[in-house]
Amino acid sequence: MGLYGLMTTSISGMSVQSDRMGTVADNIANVNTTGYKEASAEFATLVAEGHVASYVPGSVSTISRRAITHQGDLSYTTSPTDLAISGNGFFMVQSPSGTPYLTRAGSFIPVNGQLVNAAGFTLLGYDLLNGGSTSVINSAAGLVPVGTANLGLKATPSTSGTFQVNEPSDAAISTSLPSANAATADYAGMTSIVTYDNLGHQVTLDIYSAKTANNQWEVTVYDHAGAASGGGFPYAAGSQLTTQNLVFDGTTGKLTSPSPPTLAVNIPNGATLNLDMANTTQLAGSYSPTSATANGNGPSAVDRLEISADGIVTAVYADGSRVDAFKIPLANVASPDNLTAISGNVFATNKDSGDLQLGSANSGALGKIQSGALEKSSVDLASELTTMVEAQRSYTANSKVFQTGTELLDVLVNLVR
Amino acid sequence: MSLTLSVDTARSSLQATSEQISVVSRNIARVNDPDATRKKATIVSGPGVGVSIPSIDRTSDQLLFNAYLTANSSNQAQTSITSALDQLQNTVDDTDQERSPAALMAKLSAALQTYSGDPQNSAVAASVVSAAKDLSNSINSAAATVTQVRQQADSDIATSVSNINSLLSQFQTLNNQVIKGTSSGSDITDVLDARDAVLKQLSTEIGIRTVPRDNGDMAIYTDSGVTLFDKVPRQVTFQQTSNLAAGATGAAVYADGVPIAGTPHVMEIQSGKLAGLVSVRDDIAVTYQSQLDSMAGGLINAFAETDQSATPTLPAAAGLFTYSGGPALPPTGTVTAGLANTLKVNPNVDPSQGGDADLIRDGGISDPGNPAYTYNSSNSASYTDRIQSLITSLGDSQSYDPSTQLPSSGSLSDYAKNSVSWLEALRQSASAEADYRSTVAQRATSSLSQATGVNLDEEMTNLLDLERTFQASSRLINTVDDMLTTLLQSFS
Repeated sequence: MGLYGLMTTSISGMSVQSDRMGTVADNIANVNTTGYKEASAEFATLVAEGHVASYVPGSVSTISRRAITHQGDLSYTTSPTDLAISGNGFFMVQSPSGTPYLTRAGSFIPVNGQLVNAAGFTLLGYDLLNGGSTSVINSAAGLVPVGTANLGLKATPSTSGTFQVNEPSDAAISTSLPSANAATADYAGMTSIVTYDNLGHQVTLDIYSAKTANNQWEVTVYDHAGAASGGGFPYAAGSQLTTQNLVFDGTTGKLTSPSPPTLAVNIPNGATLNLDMANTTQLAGSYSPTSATANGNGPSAVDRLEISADGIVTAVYADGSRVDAFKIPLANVASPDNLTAISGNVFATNKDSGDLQLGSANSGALGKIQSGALEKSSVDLASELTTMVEAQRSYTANSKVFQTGTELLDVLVNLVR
Repeated sequence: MSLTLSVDTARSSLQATSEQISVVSRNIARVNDPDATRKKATIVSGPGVGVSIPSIDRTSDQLLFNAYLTANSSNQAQTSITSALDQLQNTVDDTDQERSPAALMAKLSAALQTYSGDPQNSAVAASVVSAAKDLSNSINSAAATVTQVRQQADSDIATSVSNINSLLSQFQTLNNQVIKGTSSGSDITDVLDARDAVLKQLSTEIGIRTVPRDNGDMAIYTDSGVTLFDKVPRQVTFQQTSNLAAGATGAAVYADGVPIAGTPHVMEIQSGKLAGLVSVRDDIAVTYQSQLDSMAGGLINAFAETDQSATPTLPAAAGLFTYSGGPALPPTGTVTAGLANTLKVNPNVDPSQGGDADLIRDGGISDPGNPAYTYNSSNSASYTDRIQSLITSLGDSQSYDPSTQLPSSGSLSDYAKNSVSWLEALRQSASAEADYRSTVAQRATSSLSQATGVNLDEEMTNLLDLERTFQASSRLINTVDDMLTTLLQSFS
C-alpha cells in the first residue's frame, strides 16, 4: 500500500533530520571545547525490494561521523604546559583509574606534580631519567605520568671550565713562588673560580700565576677554604690542589706547554675539573682574566618544564640548568576517524580504527607538538548554522509529505459514505 | 578562512597592541630615570594565525656602557684626589694673606733683621717670638690638616669598601634573577637595568671590568684583574686605622685575599674612588707631611745652639724652635715623621709662658743659666752677633730628604716656597686632569643615554600608531559580529 509507505518514508526523513539537528546542537554546544572534533550526520537510503510494476518507497538512515582528523585552529596561550598537536597524532593520556586513552585536548596543568588536562586525564610519556623506560611501539606499556613529581633536588659537580688569562710578559720573576705557600708569596695575578663538589657545595679555587723565568710561568691552585683569615697566604696544609708549569712561545706569546693546554684540578669531594687554558697568553700589558669559569651547579629544585616540538620535556632548574626528563610520544591509529569518542575529549581504539602505534612527534607522519598553544574545537559556527537551516527546511518538507499522505488517506476514507 | 579565525587574528592583534602600549607606558614612566633603557616589544607574525610578541628587548650598547664605567671610575679617582688637594691647599691659604709657612718664614727673618738693629728693645724681641710662634702654629696646623685629610681618606676607604661589598651582594641577587629570567625567556629588561645601575655605582667606588657569560651571567673583575664577582661575591676587606698619626701607614685593601691598594699591594687597582683615596692617604698627603716635617727639622736645626765653651763638650741643642724630642736635635737630611705636628717655640723664650725673649739675642734658650750655651757672655745689651748668625743660618743652604720630592738642598725659605709650588702645581694638574676626566665621563654618559635612553617624542609617535592599530582590530571584530548577527537573523 503506497500511501502508508510514503508516510513511513517521510517519518524516517524527519527522524534523520532530527538526528542531524542533534549533531548540530552537539557541535554548537562544543564550539569552544579544546580538542573537540565536529560530528556530522551522513545519510544512507534504505530501499524496499519491490516489484517492477509498482514502486515501494523505502526510507533513510543516519550514519554519524566524527571528523577526528580535521585539524582545529591553534590558539596561543601563555602557559608552556598548554600543548597542541600540529599535524597527525594524539597525546597518550590516562584516566584517573589508569586506562590509557588518546586525546588532542592539551590544556595540561601541573596537579600534584603531574600534568593533568581539563577533563582530568594525566599526560603520559617515556621517562628519560633513571635509566629510561622501554618503549613498546604498539602499546601503552612503559609510559609513565609526565610531571615534576619524580624530579628532586639536583646538584652537578664541576667537570669542565675555562681559565684564560693574559700573563703579563714584563712581570718581575717571582721571589717566593705561590706553590711554596709562604706568607710572603710573590705572584703576578690571582683569579678565583667558583666550582661545585659532588654534593653541590661551593668550592672556590684560588688560582695564582707567578713568573718563574722568561716565558715560564707557574700556576698554582688552592682551595679558598684553607686561606688565611682575610684570604690569601699562607693556606692551611693540604689546600694546595695542583701546580702546573706553563711555557709560552717568546715570539707569539702563545702557550706551548702543557699540551693539550689543560689544567686538571681534583675538587675535594668532587670530580676532576679540566680547565681549558687554550687561549691563555703571555703578552705585554696587565694581568687580565678574559674567561674564568666552570660548569656545575649547587642543589636546586625544578622551576618549570619546557616542552619541545618533538616532545622532549626538559626540566629547568632554579639555577638555569636543564635536564631532559621525559619524552612525550604521539599515538596514531590506522583509521583515526573511526576512533570511539568518549566523554572528556578522549578517544579509545576499536577494531575499526586499528591498533595503537606510538612514535616520536615531528617525525614521520606524526605532527609536531606546539607548546603554549591549544587546538581549538574544529566546529565552524557559520557552517553549523547553515546546516541547521538546511535541516529545518528538510524536516519541514518531510512533514509536508506526511501531511499530504494523511490528506490523501482522508480523501480515500471519504469515498465510503 | 572562517569568521572565527578572523576574530582570533584580530584578538591576537589586540593582545599584542596592548602589550606594546604597556611597554610604551613603562618607557614614558621612566623617562627621567638615568638608568632606564628603552624597551622594545617587537611583533612577529605567528605562531599560527595572527601576531605575537615573543620577547621584550631593551636597547643596550655594551661598548658604550663599558666606556662609561671606565670613564666614571677614572673621574671618581681624580675627584677624590682633587678634593683632598683642595683641603691641603687651605694650609697654604691665599698668598696675599701671607699665612703660608713660606710667607711666615720671611716675616720671621724680617723680625730678626729689625731685632738686630735694636737688640736692647725687649718689645722687638717679643715680636720675633711672636713671628716664630705664628710660623710654628702655621706648620702645626698644616700638619694637623694633613693628618685629618689622611684620617678622612682612611675612613672614606672603609665606607667605600663597605659600599662595594653591599653593591656586590645586590649584584648577586639581580644577577641570579637575570640568569633565571634569561633561561625561562621572561621579561628581564628591568632587572638588567637595575643590574647595570649597580655596576654604575660600583664603578664609582672601584675600577671594574665585566665579562659576560652564558645565560646573561656576568663576572666582575677589578681593573687589575682580581675577581670581585663570579657566581658569588668575593669579600673586599679593609681594617680602618683609628689613629693615623704622621708616619703611620694605613692598612691595605684586600679583595679576594689579594692586596689591591695600599701597602703592600700586588694587583693594584688603577681607578675608582678607592684608588684616589688610597693615593691621597699613602702618597700625596704623606709627601706633603714629609715636606712639613723637613721644614720643621730645618727650623729647629737653623736655630740650634752649640756649646760655646773653649772646648765644646755638650751636644748642640734646640734653640728658638723645639719639639717633643727636644732639646736633642732631629737628624738633618732625613725626614723625622711627625716633627711638624710637635714643632713649637721654646717656652724658655716665650714671655707669655714666663720665658725671656732676650735669650734670642743672648743664647741659652735650650738651658737658661747654663753658661755653655750662652753666646752673649759679656751680657751686653747691644750684642748682635747671635742675631746676625741666626739670620745667616736661616738663609743658609740645608740638605733635605730627597723623598720629599723637592730639591734636596737650598735655603729653608726656598724649600718652603718650593713646597707651596709643589702643592699648587699638583693641585692644578689634578684639577685639569679632573676637568678632563669629568668631560670624558659626561661625554660617555650622554652617548650612552642617547644610544639607550628613552626618547619621549619617539614614544608618543609610537603610541599614536598603536592606537590606530587597536582601533582597526576592534573594527574587524565588530564587522565579524555584524556578519554573524546577519546569519542568525535569517532564522526569524
